[in-house]
Amino acid sequence: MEGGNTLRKLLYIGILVIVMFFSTAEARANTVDDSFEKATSVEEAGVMDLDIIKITAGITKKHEVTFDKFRNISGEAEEGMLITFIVYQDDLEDASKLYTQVVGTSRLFSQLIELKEGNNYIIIIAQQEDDKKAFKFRIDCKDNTIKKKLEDIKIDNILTDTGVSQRSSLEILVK
Amino acid sequence: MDKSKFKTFLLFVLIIISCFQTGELWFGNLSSRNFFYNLWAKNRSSIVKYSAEPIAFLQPTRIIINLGFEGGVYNVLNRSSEEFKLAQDELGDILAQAFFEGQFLKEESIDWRKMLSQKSILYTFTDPIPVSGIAGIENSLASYIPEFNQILVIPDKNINQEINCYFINEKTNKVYIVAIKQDKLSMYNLINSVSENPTGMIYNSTKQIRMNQFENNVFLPIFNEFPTYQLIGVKNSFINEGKINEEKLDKMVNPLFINPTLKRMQKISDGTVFYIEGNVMVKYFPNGVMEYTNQTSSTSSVKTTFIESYQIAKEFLDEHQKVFNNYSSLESYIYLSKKKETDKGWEFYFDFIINDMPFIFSQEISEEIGMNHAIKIVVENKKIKQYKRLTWEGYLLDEEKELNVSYLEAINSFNSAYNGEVNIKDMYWAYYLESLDKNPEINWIIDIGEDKYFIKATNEQ
Repeated sequence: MEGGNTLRKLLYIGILVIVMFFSTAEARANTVDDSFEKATSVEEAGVMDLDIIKITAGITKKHEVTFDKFRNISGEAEEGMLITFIVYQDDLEDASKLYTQVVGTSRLFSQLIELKEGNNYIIIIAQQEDDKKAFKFRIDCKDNTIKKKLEDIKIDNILTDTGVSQRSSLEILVK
Repeated sequence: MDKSKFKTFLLFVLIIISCFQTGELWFGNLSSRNFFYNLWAKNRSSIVKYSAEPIAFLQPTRIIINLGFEGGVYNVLNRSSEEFKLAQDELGDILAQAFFEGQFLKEESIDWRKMLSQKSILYTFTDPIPVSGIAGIENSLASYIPEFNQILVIPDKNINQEINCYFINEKTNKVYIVAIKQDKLSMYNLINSVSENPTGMIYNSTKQIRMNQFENNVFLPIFNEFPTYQLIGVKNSFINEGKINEEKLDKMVNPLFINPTLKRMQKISDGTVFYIEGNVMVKYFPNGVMEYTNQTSSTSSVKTTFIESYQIAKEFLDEHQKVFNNYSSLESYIYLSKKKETDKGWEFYFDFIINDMPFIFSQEISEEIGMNHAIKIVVENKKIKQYKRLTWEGYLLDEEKELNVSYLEAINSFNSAYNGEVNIKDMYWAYYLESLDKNPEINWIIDIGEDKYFIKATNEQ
């Protein structure tokens, strides 16, 4: 009986650890098969240097997993550069949203992107006269209820108590 | 026998009282000839009395919810919303806890990106708040935190946990971290509910997106569809067809007197109306400016702290503002724009927020009315010495405008006009009144410290 409880505790902790590391691992995986130029992401103090433009906020990796509902993609570029954002979801390239802006004297650009549950693809095209480069990103927006369930689990309780409520919340999460 | 003794006693008491009253009239305060003046004044002050601590009078100009999204996404709470009221009430508790039970942890240089990395609530004040006097003698926080202009609170999801409050002073680039015990989850729940259903306008943070042209951290609106705002008009509500509405004016000035029935009214040829009662004089100028002066002189000088003086000023102002809000179709909010310590006390300058936007006027109007801010209050010897304000009334027009000039476009125009990069201290939308014969228009206000730059938020073409 005692041994069974210990095993169950270990199982729960194991599952929790896997869930916690899952998102990081998935974010690191670069599986986007694109025909666009590869983003040369040099991360320096949170800035993504893409040579022709710099992204200062809103995107940190080529592929991310998130619970966020919005992203504010901001960055720096040369004055006069045309920046185009194309946003679409899985298999919905036809229903894509297009935002365009010309970089002014501030040499800044900023675009609000609304994320929907599932894979959100963001293509940023930077064009300065004949020089044109495109970068593709994927943000996998997860269901917010998963986050809530994760938050509801109190790690300290799992370690000290085998109450029914903690067990059931973990079971729901695992399902 | 007993009856006779009682009559003698009564007569004696009446003689004493009459001597006292005669003395008061000859040598004392002549603010009223009413014998029950003191009693009346005492009762009256109890009406104005607030149950809250003085720190509850510290009302933020803006309350910002950090939704905790990557890259920085924020909601600025609407002043008339329930969320704003709740967050403002919570601030009172937070400040009380911090100053009376809080534990000072450390002082650091401001790192906005680090501080704004998780869900939080930020209270901003236009002018820094001095801590001296807020904290009790037993509390040493005042020795660590000279003043602050923002408070960032990062609540925890668990009750009875220690949470950190960041007292930020952008002028000195310092942040003071104070730990307090969280005894309820209302703030955590508020942030969560806003971040799960962000309904209002989305804002970004200039420090988080590395806009180096901004000296301070400024929250700027971002949108994919242009927002619309209702236009407002401003009128001098006490003048009707060139004539002063004396009945209405009477109701406006009455709360400023201890015994309004005893006030005398005088009019002079330029249209200025004077009301005098005892040492109090109220002037109403035809341009809509009202000035209250208390000429009571005092032999002793009592120096008060910021919070004491501010409480006196705010209580007085809130009480009088009720009269305006009763008449006005559009409720206006008041925020502290500037404060100044003088040899004798404190001067406070307030401005209006109408329809959730600050209301500001041009330099030309400022010269015409002799005021740079909508309200000025001078507190000396724990008394209101001077109270000068605009009595204009704002009202909504049946016209909406699309705000189709983004903050980046406004900055680009600003940079072109200045032929180079000038550091920006603040940037926001405001109803801007350029001249008295026009209606206010929504402008981008770019504050560079010594000057303000105005750019129309609507491009008509």
